Amino acid sequence: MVKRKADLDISKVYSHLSHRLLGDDSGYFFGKEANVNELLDLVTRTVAKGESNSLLILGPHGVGKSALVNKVLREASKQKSWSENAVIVKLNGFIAVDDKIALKDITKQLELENVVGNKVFGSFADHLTFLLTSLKSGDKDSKPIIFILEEFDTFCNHKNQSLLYNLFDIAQSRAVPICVIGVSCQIDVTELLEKRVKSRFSHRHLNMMHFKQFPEYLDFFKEFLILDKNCKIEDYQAWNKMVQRTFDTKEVQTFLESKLFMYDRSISMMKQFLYAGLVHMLSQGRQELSMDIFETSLQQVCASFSCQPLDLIIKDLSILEVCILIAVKHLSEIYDNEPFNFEMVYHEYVKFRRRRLTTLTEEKSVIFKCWENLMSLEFIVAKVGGERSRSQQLEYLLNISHLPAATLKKSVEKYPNCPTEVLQWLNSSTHN
Amino acid sequence: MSDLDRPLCRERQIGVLENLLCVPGAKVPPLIFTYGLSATGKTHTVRWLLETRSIKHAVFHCVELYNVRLLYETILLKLTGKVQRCDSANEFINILKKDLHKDEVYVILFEESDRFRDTDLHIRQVFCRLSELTELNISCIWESKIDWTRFQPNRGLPAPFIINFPQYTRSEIQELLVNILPEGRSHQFKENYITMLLPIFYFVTRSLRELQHIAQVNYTSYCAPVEDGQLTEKDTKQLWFNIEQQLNKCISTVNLREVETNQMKELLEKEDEDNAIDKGSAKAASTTTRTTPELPYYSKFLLISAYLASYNPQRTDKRFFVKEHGKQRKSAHSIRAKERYDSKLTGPKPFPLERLLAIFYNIIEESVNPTANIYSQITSLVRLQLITAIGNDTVEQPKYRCNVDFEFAKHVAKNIKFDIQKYLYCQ
Repeated sequence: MVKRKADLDISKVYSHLSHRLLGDDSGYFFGKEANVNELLDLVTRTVAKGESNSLLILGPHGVGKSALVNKVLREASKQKSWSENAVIVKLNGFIAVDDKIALKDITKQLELENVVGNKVFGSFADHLTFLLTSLKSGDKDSKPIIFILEEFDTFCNHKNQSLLYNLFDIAQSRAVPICVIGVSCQIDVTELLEKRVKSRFSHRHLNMMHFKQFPEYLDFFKEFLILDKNCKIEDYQAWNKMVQRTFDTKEVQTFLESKLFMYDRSISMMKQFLYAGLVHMLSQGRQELSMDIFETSLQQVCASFSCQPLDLIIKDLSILEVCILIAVKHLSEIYDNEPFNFEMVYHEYVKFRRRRLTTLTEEKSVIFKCWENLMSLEFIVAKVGGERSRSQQLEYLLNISHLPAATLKKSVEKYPNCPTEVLQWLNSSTHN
Repeated sequence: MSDLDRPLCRERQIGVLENLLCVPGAKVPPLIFTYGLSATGKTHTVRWLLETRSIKHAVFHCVELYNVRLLYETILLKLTGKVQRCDSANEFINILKKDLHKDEVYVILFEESDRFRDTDLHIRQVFCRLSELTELNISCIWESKIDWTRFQPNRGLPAPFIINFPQYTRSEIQELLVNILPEGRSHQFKENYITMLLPIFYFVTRSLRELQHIAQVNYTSYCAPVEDGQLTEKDTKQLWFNIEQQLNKCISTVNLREVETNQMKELLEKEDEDNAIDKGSAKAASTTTRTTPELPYYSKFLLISAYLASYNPQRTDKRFFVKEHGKQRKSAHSIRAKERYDSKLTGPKPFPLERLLAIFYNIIEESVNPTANIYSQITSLVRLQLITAIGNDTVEQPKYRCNVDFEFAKHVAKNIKFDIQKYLYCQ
């Protein structure tokens, strides 16, 4: 047994790894050499030889497309001719919602604001060509520009797709050497392009996929956690050894395979999982990864798409509100999911109260307030549109329930100190 | 320095948030989602943490989201300290990149962030990925009552780090309520008070805000015998007898915040005198005395006629209001039809003006001239929103619908000594 000499400062490890896991790729990228080389080759050809190119990088969410682009740009900037020659323009579809805004952004990134000044341009195409030809390098040729369009499918929704048309047009004609790289998570995004735009596109695709086999997936896990010399943490080898040891155990491997790999193979899920695990380790002051850390972290990660939050909210409601929900459930069962209004639910509730549990109040206004509370939590939703029409009294507006009966049943059974009458009512709608 | 106290009973959440936001040198998660019922301390905890740790932050309440400029400019003002004009997400990102430092931690807290769903999709996407787009160490905390699964648009948003704020347990509520009560008495005394108070109200509401209000309002009357010197702090049984009735009355106005004003107290006392004979009516704080306007004589009859017209089907009018109506044979069909028709549950139906007037002339005992006075009273009833006018009344007769509920109508009818139960089709 090797005795650890120095105690590992887990918060330092945490702060170092958080940069890696939370999406700020300050230099970290692993694997996928073939893709990197291909993209790098393309980009350097534009800069070095003046070839114009266009390319689309496609793949599902969280597979690493933007990370790939950033890595390639970092690699390329190490080359000598790059920094004096190449200009990079990054556009994001969520920010550049309109072609005009996109054009302003391009002007700003090319730093040509004073050149453009207050000129008014006839058409979009003129404006763009002016911008691109304004950049001249030392020997009177235009500088090569690399355009990176993230969320490419949103650009396809712009009016006339004018930005895309012009960019691809310039890429095809030999005016200025540009390279257009589109990144999108919609695999069939070329279907969204208009015919004239599609014909100018070079139809080069780079498809990225999730992992096919579990061992590669596991390797990635380890790679994310392994520290190297530059991290400035003492005793990082002990940490690395611990990571290797943990991920080599059969138990951890089967857990990861059955619980994580089966559902979501994306790298973003992996990163979230590891981050949640590290946060848990930090809060408990632990030094080693273990199964229960993985289990808590799985729970944390699943909270974003499972039904578990509903359980938690129902446990937080008061008994009166739970009774209203049960009355709604019974009404929906009896009347086959027909929309209901407050009066009907109140009627059901009163029947229950009079026969079984008279300690509760019957006051209509109090119950209505609880009803409003449930509506604000969106367990009960108005049938039409969600807006309250002023022509009808609120008690008679028709609503439908958004809470599945099975979830309600499960949560009420777990409710702490639930009165037995309520539990019995839950299971049978007859009041006996 | 902050004016907020350390939140009690929220240690676990404070610990998690500290780990996320306060570790030096670490990157903060781009999106944190805190959810829980109202009055569970979500905003309070986050703001306390941000202020005591001096993290630069901006708080924005999403009810102001109807105008995106407000959104951008408020956040920029709080984070950079300068007033700048900003119209679009593009400018927003650029200004943030320019003015903020790369190494400092910034946090934006969005209250009631479920309103984000009503805005354009790209605003949501921008604020989910703000850290990535600006390349700064900035974190957005979205706080909401509704859970995350209801937020997803078709395209999907990046998954946040989710922190749940569960409702306080009974013992935690007890501790919190005891802390809220004003100074001056022993801890044991306050604890006894809360232990007596909680079982009554715990079934109805667990919201800390409501319970706090009830505890504070009734505390003075609870302390009154001790102040006077009639009882000591230890006579819990007598103190309980004293307060019991008041608390029971309170239960019918829980959540409604009505018990505090003096006017309400007077009304309650008057009700008590009226209902002294009528034993056991726990509807003491009668709902109807809350908002009964005083109506002129004819208006009351008009209101009753409107109620009858709305809740009785038209074919039964002949039976109720005409003297010779003959016998009505009950067939199996009519019995079933009567069972199915429960207008109390389905709501009031619209009726034309003619019908209203017909019923009105019928139920009013004396003979009335159809002057403009009557019509203007109908209009004032509409103005008071006791009746609603519906439909396009230029082509056909104007149609109305009654807006009052049965309790109200009964109260008005009792006032003019009219037995409304006889005229209703179904009870």
